[in-house]
Amino acid sequence: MAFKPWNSNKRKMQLVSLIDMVFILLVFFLVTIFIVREPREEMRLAVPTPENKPGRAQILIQLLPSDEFFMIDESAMPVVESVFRDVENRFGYLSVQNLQQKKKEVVFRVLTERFTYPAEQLSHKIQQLLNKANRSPNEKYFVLIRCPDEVPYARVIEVIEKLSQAQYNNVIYGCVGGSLEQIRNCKQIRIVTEIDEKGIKRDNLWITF
Amino acid sequence: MPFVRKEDLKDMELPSLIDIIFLLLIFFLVTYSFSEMGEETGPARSIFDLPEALGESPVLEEEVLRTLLFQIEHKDSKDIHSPKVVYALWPSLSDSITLSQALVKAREDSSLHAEFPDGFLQLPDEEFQSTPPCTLIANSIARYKARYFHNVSVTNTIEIRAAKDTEFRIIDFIMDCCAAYQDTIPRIVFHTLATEGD
Repeated sequence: MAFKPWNSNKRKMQLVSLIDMVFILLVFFLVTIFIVREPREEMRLAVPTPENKPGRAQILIQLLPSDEFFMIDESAMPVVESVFRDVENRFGYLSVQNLQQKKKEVVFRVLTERFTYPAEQLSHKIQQLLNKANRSPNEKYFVLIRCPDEVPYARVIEVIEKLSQAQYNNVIYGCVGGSLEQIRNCKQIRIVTEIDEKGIKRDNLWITF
Repeated sequence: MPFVRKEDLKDMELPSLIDIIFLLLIFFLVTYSFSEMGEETGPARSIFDLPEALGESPVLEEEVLRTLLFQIEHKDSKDIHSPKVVYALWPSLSDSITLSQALVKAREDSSLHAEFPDGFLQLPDEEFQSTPPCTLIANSIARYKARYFHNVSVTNTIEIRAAKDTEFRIIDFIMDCCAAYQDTIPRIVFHTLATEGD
């Protein structure tokens, strides 16, 4: 059987396809260079100036240096009431001043244990609040964000950016400097019963610094 | 001699056709996105050196500095461990100074910038408030307020443009300075500036 002659034409480089490929790569790199160079837009967020007087908030978000956050809202009230009752029963023999101190210590420990969340839950918690606010457009929610001195302010901006996405602009926010230690060392934590604008009695948690 | 019809030569070359279609597709995609960018003020300008008209150059609306702005950034933009510097950027009366022009001016004028000392986070409040950058911030707000904010108005704002890793203590101090004038400066506008390598 005779061998077929070796066809050298079959091994020639396909010049047209090669040029096509080179052009495609060229266009790809040109485009990606421009995308990389394109500067990111700056965010602009308006934040109300804090007032130099005791504040009132329905939701407190305390940022922590450890990337975690402490968040309390109305759901903390039954916990505080139960802790206060328990402390009164167990330490009723203490003087009024010492009993207040004990209540403060225990309630702080219980609240921080129950309501401190990892950073990953921040979006979820804020989304829950936004859903609630979006369901009741006539209700207003005031969120106070407290941030320790050493924490980058971008974390506050991140929270504010999320809060500002409320559909009916009924989530109001403010931010102040402050650490969890200051809450631990506050003068007093107590429950104050007040009558709101609609004439409904409400129990509020007061932290006196 | 019989003629042979070479039918093969008239066949369409499918791979080349696909190549061409892809090239055209990419070309139109790219030119479309560039034309969109060109309509706006920003990115396209930084990519291309567009020709500029001679004479007084028009100032773009977005870049005009309209209120007192504090820019806080690292002294060396490439070193995130370098100390933070605050620049007080003042607008001009005729609304013609851009943010970048004001920054150049603030960098050249030592009375318009100050560096935060090492360990400023550990300083007690009184000491921190008497550091040169805090004095610069407090004095700038006081002077600006005296000059331009005569009445309570929602349009009275101070702006902050700061690197993302700026410590909240600095921001808190600026907010406290504004809060000292109660409702005269009711809000602060934040710009967030991406840090190098972020």
